[in-house]
Amino acid sequence: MEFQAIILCGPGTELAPLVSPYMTKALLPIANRPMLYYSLEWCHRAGISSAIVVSSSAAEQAISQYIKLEYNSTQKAGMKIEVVPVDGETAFIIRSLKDKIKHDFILLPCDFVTDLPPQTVVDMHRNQPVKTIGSGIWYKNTLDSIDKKTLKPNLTIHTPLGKPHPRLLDVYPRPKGSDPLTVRMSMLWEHPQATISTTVLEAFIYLFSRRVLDDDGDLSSSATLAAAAATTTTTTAAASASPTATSTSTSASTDQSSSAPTNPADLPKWKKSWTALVRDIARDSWRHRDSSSRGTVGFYVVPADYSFLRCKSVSAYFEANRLVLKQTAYTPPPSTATAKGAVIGRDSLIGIGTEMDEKTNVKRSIVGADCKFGRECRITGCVIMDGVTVGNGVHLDNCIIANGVSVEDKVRLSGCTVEGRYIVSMGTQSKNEVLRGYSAEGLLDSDSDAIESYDSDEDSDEDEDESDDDGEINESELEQSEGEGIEYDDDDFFDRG
Amino acid sequence: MGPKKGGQQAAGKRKGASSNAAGNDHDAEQDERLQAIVLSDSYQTRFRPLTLEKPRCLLSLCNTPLIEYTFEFLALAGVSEVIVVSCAHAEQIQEYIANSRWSSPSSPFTIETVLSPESMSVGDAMRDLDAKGLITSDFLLVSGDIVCNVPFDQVLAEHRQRRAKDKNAIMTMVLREASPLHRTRARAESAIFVLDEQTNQCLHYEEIKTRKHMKKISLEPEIFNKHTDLAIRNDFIDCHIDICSPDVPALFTENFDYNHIRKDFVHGILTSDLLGKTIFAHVVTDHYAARVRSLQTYDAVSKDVISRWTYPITPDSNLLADQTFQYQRGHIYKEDDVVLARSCRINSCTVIGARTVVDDGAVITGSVIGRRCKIGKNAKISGAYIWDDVTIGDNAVVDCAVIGDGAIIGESSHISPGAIISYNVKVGKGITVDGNKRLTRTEGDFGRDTDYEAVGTDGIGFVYEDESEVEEDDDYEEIVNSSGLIYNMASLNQSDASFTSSGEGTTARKARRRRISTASNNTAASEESDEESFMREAQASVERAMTEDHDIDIAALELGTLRMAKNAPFHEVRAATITALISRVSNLINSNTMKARQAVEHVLNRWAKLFRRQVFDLADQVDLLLLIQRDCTRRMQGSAILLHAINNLYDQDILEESAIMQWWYKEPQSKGDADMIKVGELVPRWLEWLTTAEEESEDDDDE
Repeated sequence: MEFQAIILCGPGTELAPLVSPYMTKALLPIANRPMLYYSLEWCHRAGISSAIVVSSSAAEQAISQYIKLEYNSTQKAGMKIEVVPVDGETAFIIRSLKDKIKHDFILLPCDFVTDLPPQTVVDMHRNQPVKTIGSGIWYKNTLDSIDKKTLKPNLTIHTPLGKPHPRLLDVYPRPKGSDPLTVRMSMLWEHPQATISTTVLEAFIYLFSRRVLDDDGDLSSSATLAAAAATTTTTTAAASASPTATSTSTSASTDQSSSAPTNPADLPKWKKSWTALVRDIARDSWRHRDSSSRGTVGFYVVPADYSFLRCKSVSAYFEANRLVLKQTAYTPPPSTATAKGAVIGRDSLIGIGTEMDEKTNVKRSIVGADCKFGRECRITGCVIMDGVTVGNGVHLDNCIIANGVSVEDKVRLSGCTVEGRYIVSMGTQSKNEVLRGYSAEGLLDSDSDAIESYDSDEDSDEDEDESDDDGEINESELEQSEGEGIEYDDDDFFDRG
Repeated sequence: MGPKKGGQQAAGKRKGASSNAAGNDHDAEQDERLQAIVLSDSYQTRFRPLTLEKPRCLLSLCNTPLIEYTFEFLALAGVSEVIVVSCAHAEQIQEYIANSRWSSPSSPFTIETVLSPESMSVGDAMRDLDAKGLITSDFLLVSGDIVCNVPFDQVLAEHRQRRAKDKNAIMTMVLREASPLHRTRARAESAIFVLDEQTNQCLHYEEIKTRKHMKKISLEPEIFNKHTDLAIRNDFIDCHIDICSPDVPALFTENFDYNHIRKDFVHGILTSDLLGKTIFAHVVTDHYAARVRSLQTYDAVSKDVISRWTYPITPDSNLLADQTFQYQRGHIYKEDDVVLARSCRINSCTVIGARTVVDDGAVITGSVIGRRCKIGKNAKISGAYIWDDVTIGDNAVVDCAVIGDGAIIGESSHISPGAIISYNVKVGKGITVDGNKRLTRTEGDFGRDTDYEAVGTDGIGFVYEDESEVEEDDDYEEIVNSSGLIYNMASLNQSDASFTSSGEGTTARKARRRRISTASNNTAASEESDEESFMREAQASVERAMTEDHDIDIAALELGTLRMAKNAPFHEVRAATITALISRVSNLINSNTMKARQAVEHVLNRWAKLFRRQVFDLADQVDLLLLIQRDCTRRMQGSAILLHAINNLYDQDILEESAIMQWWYKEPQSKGDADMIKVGELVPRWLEWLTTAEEESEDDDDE
């Protein structure tokens, strides 16, 4: 059985200021390699021969260029990689790729880093019972340094992990305030042992049977019922109801051979977030009277011996670098870097073409290519991207320095994040700040504001991120499906008795 | 705060007493001895009429009294001191224990019976125990009707370990894992437990009201912040085997509205932030544990004992000294001196007691037959529980029924599945007893003659109806569902349908719940919200106060505690009080005890003081008036009750003139619908009197 990989490259707005119009998330370097490399490599190791990289139309060019010029040239065995620009919700993306998906598929984000062997996941899915229509991967965050605010675990209900073939049963957003969480009895009669996990996070790696794309299948009768209702309404109404879907489908419709009068991609099922879609499949597996014949969703949690993290915040990105650094075997720095007797710790990674002057000391850090360091610098635990110029006597401690930043003499930074092309003026001393914008003066006045606004940015941007659906199960949708559920419950039980 | 303080004092006293009595170190005491409290009474009436004459724990299960199984379990668990708390039929239990081997010097534990005749619930018994100061250390709390072979060392060790670490871990519940529809899982008393997956701390307890109608359970969001992985379990058989710390009876004393160990106590502890106590569960995956709490479970447990799931507790282990059971192939257990005719057939899974005679051609399948029974020629017995000294006539058919001691089934009679024939009933010849009939000879409160239609012209006995119990028991709908030997799914389904078609409001349902005595599943349908349970409990509390003539302060305190526990608004407190008081008034009138005015005065003169702590301002008074008016709409002579109630409350200065005026003239709800207007028909005259302040009201007649 073959898999096709679908790698979703989101915009990564939560990684600001590292991600900008000039640097798309997928290409943000982790340990001197673009994030996308790790996803592709993981698929490669899983023995997948065909991958579709989905990006926003804006980032498409940069990503195709990277794959054409760099990734493909470094790889020995060929993995067919295609870059497709689609804008929209994940479920919509998957639906619009229907004709390109020939096999069962693995859905992956571009922003994960793990030492979990891909084969374990594939084997897990292959060993699932026949009824399993797909499996998902969840992980637990083990790192304290990742900003807790950026991890928003849902309440994930699944069958106990101790039993064979755990299944996903339901997903709820964390109840707000003092609202109670309601768990349906129909689920508890079907699955008397259920576990609510409050900490598992969606890895957003899903292995699904191609069946899931069949619109006329018995995937979700509620969805098809609603679909039936939708098809009776005029197409114009449907179009106006989903302006985003239709506008984007014009770009995608060139790929679509399905020219049915009502576009199946307009089904409500495909307008949800992927998480909601998976949740509905899981729910349908116990909610209906014929639920025993319905597909189930396997539930797999990354074992505690493996690390897994997704770069969904700057702190997570930082940890990802450290994780990769730990995994990669020591490679001696390129000769240019060690010139003039600079000291580079064996726990550091230095890119090609980087130069260091006398008495510069680099420890536990990642330094990109073509950087220039002055004399007597001390770099500890930093991530420094390509083309950074560092003056003399600079001390950097646990900082992220983006591409092309210029750090002038005697700067002392600790725990700072510096946006690309920023110029850190001479003698600046900062701690735990985000340095962004092009004018240093303006920023120094509004340091604290910058941090706050950055945080709030992250929150508001979360929902727009196309591959990160965690926060998107909206209440009204839950309410609505709840209502449907009740009716089915009733029927269910009269029959069962 | 009041009750709490009192409780602490009581706890303090108790501790003092115990340390004096024991006179040694508390910890050392814990290690050495394990006390067990056996609640011999179930405080339920599901086994009636069988339990009219004998306590449930002495009913025979596979020819051995139920309580023997409990004692056997306690002996295996290493208990050193057993205290049996008995209430109904206490003298029988005392006598039984005094004559049993457990009172002999070779008994593994000391045994003591404690009478608690006033207790009406587990809560009462616990309060009684607390008052008597009998509990000195952590103890095992069981009911006298369990069958269990779970080794207890580990459970106890875990409990003690937890206690050593955290004094607030006051209780460990032993729960057996099974499938949700397991036959020993009592239909009406199963519950959903939410446990912390790592520690097994119980975080939420939700009783399953009736299987059909609970659509969802609600979990408080706080538990998600404190615990990472929560197991929601709907597959536990809860036999109410608990290890409790001495805090448990003390907590019952502090919270005098706790009656039920699970739905009041466990629920109360889990939902109370103030107490900070924790409850843990011990999940048993192998071994057997079941509680005989309904006839269905009686049936299921009997079958399990026969099929040796409960090993080593099986009939052939001869729990009683004089038993001589021997095991034969096919799960047939026979005592010595059983006389079997040559042509009779004993099929598998059957137990037959000593000196029973089975005549030619009789067929016995999967049944339990007691001692000294006579089974007539060609009788057919399958799945039946026949106790001692029963005579089954020739050609009679007994199918899945319970036949009590000394009963006689006439020739060619047919006992249908589910029937219960109590002690010494005589069923005549050729009679068919329906499956839903329960025949008895114990008259109870009503003197009754033999019902010849049911038992035949040559029979003795009459049909037992448990109507009288209905009024007393809040859970009667569940009893109806669960008391049958056969769980009649078909009829249940039918009434489900009738429920869904009738869209009654909750208030209407509640009103009916109290008054309708015929068993209807409709009421069981209420998915009980907190609000509703408060109303019910508050109402019950006021009713109890009235029937037991509590001090008014205690009644008010109890209501106050309840209100705080449930966080109910005063409006609901008033509503509950009004409902209770007016229903009392209404009962007095309907039973022709008193006339309306007299009845209102009788009740309100004493109990209206409750409102002093419920009604604070004008708006509250108007609200109170509306509640009375609304409540009176569904009473006989409602308008008279309303009138006199207003008059009385006015005289007692609970209602002010301005409030009454506002209610009558300004409040749109007071004339909201026809019923409300009708019930208020007498009010204008009274208002007239009020405004002119004349003494005419004295002459108002009562109609």
